[in-house]
Amino acid sequence: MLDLDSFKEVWQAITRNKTRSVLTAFGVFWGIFMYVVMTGLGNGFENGLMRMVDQISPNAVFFFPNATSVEYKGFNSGRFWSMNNDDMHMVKENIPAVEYVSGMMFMYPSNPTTYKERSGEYSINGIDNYYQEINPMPLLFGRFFNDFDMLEQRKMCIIGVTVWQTLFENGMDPVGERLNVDGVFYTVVGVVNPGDAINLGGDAKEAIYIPSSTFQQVYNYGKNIDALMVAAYDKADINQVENEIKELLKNKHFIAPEDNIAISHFNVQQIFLMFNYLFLGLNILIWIVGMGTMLAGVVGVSNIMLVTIKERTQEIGIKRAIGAKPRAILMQVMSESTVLTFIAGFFGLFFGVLILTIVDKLVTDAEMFYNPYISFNMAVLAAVIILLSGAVAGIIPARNAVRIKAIDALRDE
Amino acid sequence: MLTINNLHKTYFGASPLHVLKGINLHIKEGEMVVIMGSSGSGKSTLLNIIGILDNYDEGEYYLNNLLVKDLSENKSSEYRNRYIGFVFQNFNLISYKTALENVALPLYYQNISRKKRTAKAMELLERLGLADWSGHFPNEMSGGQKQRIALARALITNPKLILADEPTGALDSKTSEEVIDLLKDINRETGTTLVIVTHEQMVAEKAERIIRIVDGVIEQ
Repeated sequence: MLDLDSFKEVWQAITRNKTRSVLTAFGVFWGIFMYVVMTGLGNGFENGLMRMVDQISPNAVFFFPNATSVEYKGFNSGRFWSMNNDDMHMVKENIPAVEYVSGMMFMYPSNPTTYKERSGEYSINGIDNYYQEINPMPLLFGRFFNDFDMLEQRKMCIIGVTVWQTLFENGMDPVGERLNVDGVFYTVVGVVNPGDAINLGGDAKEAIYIPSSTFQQVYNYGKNIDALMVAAYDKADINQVENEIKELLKNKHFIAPEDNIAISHFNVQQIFLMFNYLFLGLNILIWIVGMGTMLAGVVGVSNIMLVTIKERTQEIGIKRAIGAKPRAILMQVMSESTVLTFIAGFFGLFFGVLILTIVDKLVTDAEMFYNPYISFNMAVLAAVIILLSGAVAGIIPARNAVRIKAIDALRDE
Repeated sequence: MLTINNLHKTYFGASPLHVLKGINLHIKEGEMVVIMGSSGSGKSTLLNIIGILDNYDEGEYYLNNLLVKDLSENKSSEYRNRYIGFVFQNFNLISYKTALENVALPLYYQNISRKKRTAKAMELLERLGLADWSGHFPNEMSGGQKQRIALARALITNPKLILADEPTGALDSKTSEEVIDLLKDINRETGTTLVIVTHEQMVAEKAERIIRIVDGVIEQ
């Protein structure tokens, strides 16, 4: 169909009419370029956010007490209540789908935390050893808490990465060192580098974690906890588990069943779902805009070729006069359109990927942005669309070109 | 070579225009004929019909003993390519092709390889003394040079018939004479039949036979 000799003819027509070719092809170039860049950036945000959230157990649920809003069983509305260790046991024992339970407490001490001559202000969080199963925090040094730390209310702590960087010599292993936290000395057993997705009680990187039993003793909490965290088994229906726990808590703490304010809660799956819809929406938008831009490009190619065909009446007429059959003219125009679109599309793809690579190199420390590339499949799809659209763009101009008769060229003098 | 019997042609526009009103013409192989006539007399229409660029309504036209009537676009393209070479008043060279490429183009439509057609075109340009101009584009050449390139393009397929529509219309008198002499030489050397439409007396004087068209008929 398109042998080397006819390709050379087409190539000559394209390269010897540079301005015309560049103007024709620009629309498609821009369409593909925008499509690649937008898809890549969209993927970058998606990868970045997903990297942040995928550390958390997708089956985690969080509960916080609030003042009640409904009068119930002799209690006024606006009553403050709190959760405690017994609630944790109750939840674990009554709901079979629950795998892990952890309490959590928050404290913002008025005294700075000190180590030797260095100091800083950090929040103090009490957590159970199962916290690591619910909202895992990658360890840089040392270990996490264990059952004995909890039972014996040991004075030990795990510090966030920022605390470690501020209080200790560059790169020093702090395990075994003793920190003065709010007037009490704790032995460092580990350093964690938590993700940014879910921060309870301030920036997790700037927090000092101590065993919840220790926290309750030091700060006179008794058996109380500030928040309850639960992870269900993988196959459990997390929304159902969430509701069951809520009912249990309401029942035990004399909260009206219709009181929707007394317990704040959220589960991670809802957040995942929200992100998924967000990115679905974003991807659909990118598709619509990208395809629209590409379509505009193709229509542009078709349109400009249509105009140039009119301009090229003489050229085509001469060719017909000296013996070109209609099919030869048809092939010429279609081939020109396809070759032009293909080259333009290829450049669009190339520069799009180039921009993405540059962006990836420049943006290194943004948590929300990671690996902005388009997949190989997407690139192949784009290439197929370019080739098809190139052929389609050529149809109308080619049809018009074929209608030109040799005598038209001689009349147009 | 070429026989036309009782040929009629009408242009159907807002008001129908009966241009050719029964042309009878016979041209022998190797003849050099000039067709003359005032503008609107139908001489260009006749030339277009002879060149299979236009069709006619009534009568018969035999080219090389083949009846040329109601041919398909494909057939007429093939016949033009095989039997006829064209020379136009405004040269009609393709602007983005070099002289050599313009000359070789008709052979492209015969599916002759690039190498062969370039060699043949080069040989022809050498014969016409235009070898130095082979790499130049039409806009870098003078009118006379362009018309000689166009002539080379008409000759490359070894046609039976060369049709020239006002070949000297855009040239000064000196160049005109050179181009006509060249046409005459080719006619003499290769025996190619030559039909020239013109209204210049100088051109007519060089022809063996002059046909005058007045109001769509040939004046005897």
